[in-house]
Amino acid sequence: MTNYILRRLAFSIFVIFAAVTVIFIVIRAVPGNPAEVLLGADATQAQITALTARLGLNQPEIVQYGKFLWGVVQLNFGNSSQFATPALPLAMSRVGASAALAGVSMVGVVVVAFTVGPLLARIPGRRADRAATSTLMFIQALPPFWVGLLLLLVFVDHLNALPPGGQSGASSFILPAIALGFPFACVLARLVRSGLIEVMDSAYIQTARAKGMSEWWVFRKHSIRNMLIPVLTVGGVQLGLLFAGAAVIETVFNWPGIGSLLINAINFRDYTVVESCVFIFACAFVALNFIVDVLYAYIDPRVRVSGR
Amino acid sequence: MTGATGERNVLAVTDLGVSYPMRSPLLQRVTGYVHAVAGVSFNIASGETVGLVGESGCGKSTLGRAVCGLVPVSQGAVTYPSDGSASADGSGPGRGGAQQVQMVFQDPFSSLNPGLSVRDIITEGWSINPGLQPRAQWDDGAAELLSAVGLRADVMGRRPKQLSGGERQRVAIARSLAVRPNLLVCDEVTSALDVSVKAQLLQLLARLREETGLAYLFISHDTSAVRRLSQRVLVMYLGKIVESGTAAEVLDHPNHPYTRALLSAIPRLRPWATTRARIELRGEVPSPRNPPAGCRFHNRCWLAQQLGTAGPGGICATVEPGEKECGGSHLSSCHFADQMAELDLTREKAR
Amino acid sequence: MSVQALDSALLEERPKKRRRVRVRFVVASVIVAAYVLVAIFGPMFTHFNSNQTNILDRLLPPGGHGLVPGSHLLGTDQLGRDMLGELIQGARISLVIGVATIALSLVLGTVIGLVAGYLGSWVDGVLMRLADVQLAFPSIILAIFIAAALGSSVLNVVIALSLASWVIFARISRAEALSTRNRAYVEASRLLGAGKVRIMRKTILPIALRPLIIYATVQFGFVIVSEAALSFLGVGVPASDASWGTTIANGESYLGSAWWISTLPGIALAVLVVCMSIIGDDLNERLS
Repeated sequence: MTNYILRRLAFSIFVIFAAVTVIFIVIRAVPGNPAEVLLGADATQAQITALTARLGLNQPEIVQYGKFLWGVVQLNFGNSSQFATPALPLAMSRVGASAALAGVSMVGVVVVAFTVGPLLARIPGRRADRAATSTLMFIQALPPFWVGLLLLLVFVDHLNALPPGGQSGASSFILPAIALGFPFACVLARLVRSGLIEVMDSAYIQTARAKGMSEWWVFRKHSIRNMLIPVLTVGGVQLGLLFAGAAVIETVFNWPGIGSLLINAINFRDYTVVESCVFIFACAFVALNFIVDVLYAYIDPRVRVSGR
Repeated sequence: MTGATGERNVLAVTDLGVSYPMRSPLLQRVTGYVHAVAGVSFNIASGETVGLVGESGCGKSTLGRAVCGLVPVSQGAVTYPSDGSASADGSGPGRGGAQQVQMVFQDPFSSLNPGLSVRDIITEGWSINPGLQPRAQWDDGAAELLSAVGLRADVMGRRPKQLSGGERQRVAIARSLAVRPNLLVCDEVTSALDVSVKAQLLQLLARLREETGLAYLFISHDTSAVRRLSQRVLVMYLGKIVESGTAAEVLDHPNHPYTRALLSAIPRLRPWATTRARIELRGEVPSPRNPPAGCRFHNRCWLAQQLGTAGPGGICATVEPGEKECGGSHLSSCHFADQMAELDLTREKAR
Repeated sequence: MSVQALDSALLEERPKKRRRVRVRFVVASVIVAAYVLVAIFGPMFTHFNSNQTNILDRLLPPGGHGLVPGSHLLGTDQLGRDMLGELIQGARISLVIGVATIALSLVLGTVIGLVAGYLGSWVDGVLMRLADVQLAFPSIILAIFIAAALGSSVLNVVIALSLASWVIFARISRAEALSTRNRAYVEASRLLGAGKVRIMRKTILPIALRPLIIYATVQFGFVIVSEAALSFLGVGVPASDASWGTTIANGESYLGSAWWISTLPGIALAVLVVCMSIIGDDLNERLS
């Protein structure tokens, strides 16, 4: 098991390193000279040349790459061009808000999925069952940012029931959390439902029932554990995606998270902040995948042996 | 070197070795080698059928693949003298070398592409090598091949899953024949078939041989099928050939202790009428990774165990036997090959 | 009758299973076809020039009449442009980008996957490390990042989205290559003289196509939603092109007063995505 963990750890580090490389490459792909952009349209050639030299932009690519890597290792991404403060700490300060939103959303997703799922599993009649599943699929396919706007429209503009955006207390979490999480709630609910259906009809459950155990006992003892594996896998992935989907939702709801910071920085050509945000996203995603891998290996021993 | 010598050989195998490296799981370092084939030499003449027998895992299939050029050769060479310069260097069948040798595989269910019709399967060789048959004649050619293997022309449009095992093997044979090989390697072609179908297939192979002069390397663990079809027989154990000769020599008068044990395991029709008792082999089956020193068979050899030469210091455990002649073209790699006849009666009676 | 002949006769007799075409599949396909037709023949459906801004006619509700003769079926936006025309434009953009992205990522992913799976060894190692890099990024973040860097244009959006989606196709085709390459019929083809390229193309690819196509329909939905998200955020197609995402963004400030500007494109998008996912789901059931 330790062997497996070490291997996955090494792999994760490699992936982060590759991610940093990609970040470097993509940023360099931006057309135009960053120095020009920073100085604005009315800069003189001399000023541009000076800034270019100061930013080290005229050195060979490989040198720039080396310096970049060295900076990353020291967790130094330079300063934000908007705020003149270090970029990475700035980005880190916004992680809290995003994480809080993602957390609340995830809780909601799990609650909804595990409430709706079992209900769906017990629907009598195939037609009603298919209709319910189709409805879920429909909801799942709706574009999240649009749903967010609709929610704003209905609950804020028309009903005036909830605060209009920005993080301002408990009730402000509700709408963005829904907008963020509803597709995953649908996926998870369907998974829970199918997992339950499969298990509830299986042989050893039948035996338990034949022995005279109550439905509730059957459910508790047998169904839950076996549902957990696929749910965990999907759940882990979904949590990461939740974090990512935040970028768009945060923009819609004016939420002070790292996603909206990223969009903001893009619009203001604040490269260092963009790099920092993407870096944090990458690290968080990789860390999440790593944890899920380890948990999965813990539950399912076959994974440890095959190694992948 | 065993077998027919000279001009009309379709296959010449010289000191062939095929080894697979074993790698450590993490760093992929090479930790050793599995010697699937360890120094094999023989020839096959034009039109000749050579049978290859041995237990599972002795390396016969690997040898068959090496003969076709499907696996890389680690040592020695495989050449096709009758076509002059054509030779397989083991990196895979090249355009030139491919058509000399073709192979029919063991499992009829996975040897045909399920997505293709019988016609497409048979004409694949012509599609890959356009010079062999002009496109206008593909359908006629395919029909001809089908009738040569005893199938009706109306199976052309069918898919493999609509055919039975025996029919599939026939299609596989037709596919091979399409590129006009000199040598056909039959790798356990009857193992997956019912007894009656087996017999029909063997009949077909015999008939094709008469009609086209095709040579076969007939690999099987079914010694009676080998007996029926082969002129010469090679016996393989743990990557080496331990006995060779004509079919009558090897199968009726086996000289090597291993061959004897192998043949004694064939169920007899009238067990009470035979003087040959069942020989059981004792001892651990060695792994090709680490073959025993001296004679490879020594730790399971009933003869060595009886003679006491299997222990450390005994000749069987320390010296690898060379090929000894036992009359005619019969060769056997055993230290006691020439004394087998005398040991014969003593051996059988004691067990 | 010989055993063989009996055997084949029985195989022929076996009835083919008929599967009923599901209603929702037909409905979904019809809707998607309608979208495609509208996108291609779009301008014929409305007599308004969709690029024509007319400030005096701005913010007309659906069914409203402005100074320009005729009824705006779906209203006008904040610059007086006809909403129906905007939606049709948006459909064009979404479909073009969707198809182009899927095509590009499908080709790229399939080639890489086949080569990695069939050739194995170090080629597989290198290519799969490349694929693993994508594991570091949630797709949408990667797409936002690349699109922002490259600049606003349809081509750049296609590139960014393709780079964010090729890996799954590579994984699928690699898996098929790995499981097929050791089959006896592949060896037989090699023996007949087939080279590596021919085997990958003619033997393995047809088998891989089935799951690839299924996944492509699923991925299509993701692509067009992502494109809308990118345009919404300002990093997608240029603001002058009326992508659904851009239109939604334009209508954000008018949510209370002119709700149709943001709502209608979203409905158009949602319906298309749902139909595509129904089609994908049904194909999946059918072909597996």
